[in-house]
Amino acid sequence: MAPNKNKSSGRASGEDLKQEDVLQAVVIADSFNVRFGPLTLKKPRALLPLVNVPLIDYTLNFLAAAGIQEVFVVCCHLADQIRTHLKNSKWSEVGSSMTVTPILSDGCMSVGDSLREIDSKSLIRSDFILITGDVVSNIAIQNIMDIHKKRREKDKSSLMTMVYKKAPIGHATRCHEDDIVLAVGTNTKRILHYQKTRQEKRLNIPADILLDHSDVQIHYELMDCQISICTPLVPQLYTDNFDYQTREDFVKGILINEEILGNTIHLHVIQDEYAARVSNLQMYDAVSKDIMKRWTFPVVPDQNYFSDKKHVSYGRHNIYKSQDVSLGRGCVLEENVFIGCNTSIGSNTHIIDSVIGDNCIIGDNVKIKGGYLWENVRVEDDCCIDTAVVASGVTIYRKTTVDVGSVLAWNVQVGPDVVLPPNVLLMSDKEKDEFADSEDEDGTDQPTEGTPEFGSKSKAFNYKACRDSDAEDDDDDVDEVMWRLKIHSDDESFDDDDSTILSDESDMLDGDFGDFGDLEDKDSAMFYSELIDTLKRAKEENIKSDNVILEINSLKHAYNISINDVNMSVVKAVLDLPLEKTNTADRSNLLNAFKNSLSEHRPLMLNYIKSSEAQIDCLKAVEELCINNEFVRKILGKLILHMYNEDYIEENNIFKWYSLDSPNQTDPFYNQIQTQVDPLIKWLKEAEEESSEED
Amino acid sequence: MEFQAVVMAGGKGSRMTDLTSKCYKAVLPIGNRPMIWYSLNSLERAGFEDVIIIALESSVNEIHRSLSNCNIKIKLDVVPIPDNEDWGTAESLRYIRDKIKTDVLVMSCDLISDLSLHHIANLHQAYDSSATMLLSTLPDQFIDIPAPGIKSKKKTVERDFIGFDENGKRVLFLTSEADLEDTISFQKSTLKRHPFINIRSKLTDCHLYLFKKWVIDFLAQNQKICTIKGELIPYLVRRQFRRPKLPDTDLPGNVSLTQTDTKPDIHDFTSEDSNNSKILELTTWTDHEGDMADCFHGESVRCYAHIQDDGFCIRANTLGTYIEANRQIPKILSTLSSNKNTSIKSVHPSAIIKEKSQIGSDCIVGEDVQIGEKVSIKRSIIGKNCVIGDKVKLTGSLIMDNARIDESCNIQGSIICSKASLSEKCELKDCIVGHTQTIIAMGKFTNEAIIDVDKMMEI
Repeated sequence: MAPNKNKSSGRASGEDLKQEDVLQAVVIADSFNVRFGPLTLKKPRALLPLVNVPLIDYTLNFLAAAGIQEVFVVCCHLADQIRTHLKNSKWSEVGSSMTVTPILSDGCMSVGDSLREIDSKSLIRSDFILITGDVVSNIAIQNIMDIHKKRREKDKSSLMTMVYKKAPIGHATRCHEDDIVLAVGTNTKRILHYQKTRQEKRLNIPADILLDHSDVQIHYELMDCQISICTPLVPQLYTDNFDYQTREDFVKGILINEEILGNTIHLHVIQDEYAARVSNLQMYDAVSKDIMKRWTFPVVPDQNYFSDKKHVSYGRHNIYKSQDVSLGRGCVLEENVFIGCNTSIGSNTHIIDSVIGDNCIIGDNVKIKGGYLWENVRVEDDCCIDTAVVASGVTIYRKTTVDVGSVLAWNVQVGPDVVLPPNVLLMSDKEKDEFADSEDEDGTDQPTEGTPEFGSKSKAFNYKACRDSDAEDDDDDVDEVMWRLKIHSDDESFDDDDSTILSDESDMLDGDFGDFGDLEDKDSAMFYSELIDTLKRAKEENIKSDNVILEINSLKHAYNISINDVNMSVVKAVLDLPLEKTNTADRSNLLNAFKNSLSEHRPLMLNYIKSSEAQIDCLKAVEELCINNEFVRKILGKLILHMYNEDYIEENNIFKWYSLDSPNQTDPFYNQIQTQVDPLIKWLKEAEEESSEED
Repeated sequence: MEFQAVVMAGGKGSRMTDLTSKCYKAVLPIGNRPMIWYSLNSLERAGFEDVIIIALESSVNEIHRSLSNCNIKIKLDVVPIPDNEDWGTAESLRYIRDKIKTDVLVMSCDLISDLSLHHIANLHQAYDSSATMLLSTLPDQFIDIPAPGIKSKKKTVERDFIGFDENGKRVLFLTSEADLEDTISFQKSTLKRHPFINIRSKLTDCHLYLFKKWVIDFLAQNQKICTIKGELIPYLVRRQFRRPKLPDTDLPGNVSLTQTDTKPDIHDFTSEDSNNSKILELTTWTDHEGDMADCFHGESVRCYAHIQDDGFCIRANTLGTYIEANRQIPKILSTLSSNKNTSIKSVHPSAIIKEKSQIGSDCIVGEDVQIGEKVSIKRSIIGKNCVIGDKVKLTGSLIMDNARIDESCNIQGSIICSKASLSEKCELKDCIVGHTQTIIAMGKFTNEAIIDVDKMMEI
């Protein structure tokens, strides 16, 4: 409260008797996405424990430390839980420095909706902090607030100050989902251009920016902290523009309309302080480690920062132990380990980079590396856990291996004696939503019995994120990066991770459709011949590519073909067409024929071969073609290079495809294919991406 | 010597034809010295012992003559280039490629600067740069100097947009305003290596470059490149992020992958010194932070720039900057002379000045000048053998050799060329009086170029 007093006394007494503004903040306690897989089915994201403390407590403590007096928490999904949590928290105690008001709004589907809700309630009276309920930070927001206010005094048009943290490319807490390129006026700190990079290979920045501003910085090394200081106008603008869903929409809208409305958005870069949003599992992993490694000081487990009754002792190598921990003989806590109260750990157990919650029982000879175990988890002897989130109430029976990137949701049981494949998302109940259609047929019908692949005593089911069709393209990229072990500085190991994810997915699919294999084959063959016909007809009758795409899409539905198969078929068809024509006549022209056909069908290709998954499908199709045709085999390298040069496929995906286990490995021609591709891969890896600027 | 120096003096001065029609640009006087003297002087101060001057065939004698009494110690090797070919800077450089044995410093003769060249040389060597350029933060006052002579339509200054890395040294992006397209685009992989780019537009290219020897070899092979500034430098900047071409032989198959063009790739020229590459391997030094990649990210073409923030730096390539250079030069002339003893006196001892005349300290008066009574001279340069009548007022003007100004003339911001004569009571403001022109008594002119009519037609 001290700074407030200073301010009010500093003001000329008679000048205005306006009440000193209360510092307000709006916390969006919902992510409006399903990045946290099955975990968020039962608990909202904001209440998931991060190093044994619910996420939202980090955010609220950060706001309290910044001197905020009034906080509105917008909750949507499972709002009751958040309300109860807040009611029982220290913020509702008498004498709390900050009032926290939950705002329940089930209807909200986005950040935009939340702010419109805030606006309709007219809760905001002055500049406020907008933050999501999963941000961990120790920045002194007061300073940034002051800068913001000073700027506002000079320049009324400044709407918002966004806080970014400097995080170079290899930074561990850099969120791959939020990769962003900003153009900022060097002196003004005004954001001139804002672009999420996503999968794009080139980034275009309008040249007008350069003409209008003499000194412009282009940043690709910044990380969005998801903290912004907004003027009361911001919620109003959300209301005026009902199409603003996310903050990105808002920022883009403001920048585009800048000339009309004159509103501006500014940037503040923090360098030594910490702020990060736990926006996906990769970030969960990174931020947990950061907390244990004390980058977030004073927000560390042993500081009683959360005024909890629990006492945590801090030892060398960042070992945190709560009360009543029992450690077996010969157990090793190597470094960066947190252990909750009443937890017992068996003998000869080895733990590193992990968080073990309260009331857990870990058996003997267990190895845990990068494991995030919540409360009441039982891990029996000889288990091995590598980089996984294990929710409360989970039991892992003896000799079970939980592999990289797995998530075991509430009360799942796995084992004994199994090795889980990497990147599994398991939940204890069968999914009850309407999206689970094909999975229903995959064997067990009684929900009490688990699928045998997860062990005889298991109670676990695969979770498949239900995707809204609107959000599909958005989620596609994310799934790949949803859970990554570590940020490797070299791209190679990256790709290895990805490829495992992908190959697993395809394995799963194979299993699921096993029974219907024959039927499906027939369908896809029919589909393929129809596709070829369509393309031929399109050429003869000069049908627009848009319409061809429409037709193919309807074919897809008619034959019930998965999108992967569509992608592969399209590529195959595009390449088959010239193949049919040329026959054996002249092989030398085959490559040119391919090139022509590709460029002829470029819009088509671009429509289907978009995501990296599709690009890998495309390569698989080419591979298949090679197996069946020796002429294609001879020019495979060049064909792929051509596709790469023409931006059909990205080099990352070539690597991924290359590292996949091919189903054709047994094929006698497989070696030939490899000899074709090896030099290409080598070349791609050796040198970095090529600038396509030719002259 | 680690570097060779080349001074480009073959320019025709196309931006100031009013003056250059009768006099080669390189020998136009600035502070009573030929323009080229300043380039030679800065080379001399940096310790260069010889220099190659590229000059128009016809101007060679003129250059020798004008430099003869300037006390130049540096050894001159004047290479004539044909007058009528209109060669670009890069073409000229290609012409003398056989003379280039080491890394080379190329500068334009119109650069008037007190910069010591070791800054840029240090930068060049510290980063093992392929091309290093000198830029200057031009104060705004130099950008819009009212030029004497006929007021042309407000010319907008052509800006360059130059992108720097975090240290502000590496040049990552370069384009001129004219070449700017609707969007500027960056390869994502480039941004991954250089996640911060600061694009500045208020910098002036001083046309002083240091090139690696291989750049000259490359230039020799690429006939298409005509100018250094317009083509070579942008090309090099762009090629920084390009990886070497895929060697054809590595791939099996009959058809060549990349079209078999025999055009040599730039990377064929960038042979790294084996010593250097060894040093890079062993050193812990790196030019960037944020990732664990090798120093320079393995980029073999690298462009850097030294930005001169203070000091004096002006390119006398337009009328405006030319006269401004003349006005400023008295202040810095003393810092330029290597020999403090013979420091340039603002008024030559042989000049005769009558009583009650005031000559500001920011003026230079040449040999054998005769100045009458009650004359007031401010911020002006007066050449040799000029005769200035009584009660003449000169402000911010340049009077070249052998000019004659009669009584009670009032001259502001004008250039009076050699052998011109002004009769009494003339009033000139922001004018140019051409070579041997005469102005009748009581003439009043503002913003006019009084030059040979024939010449006018030609322009």
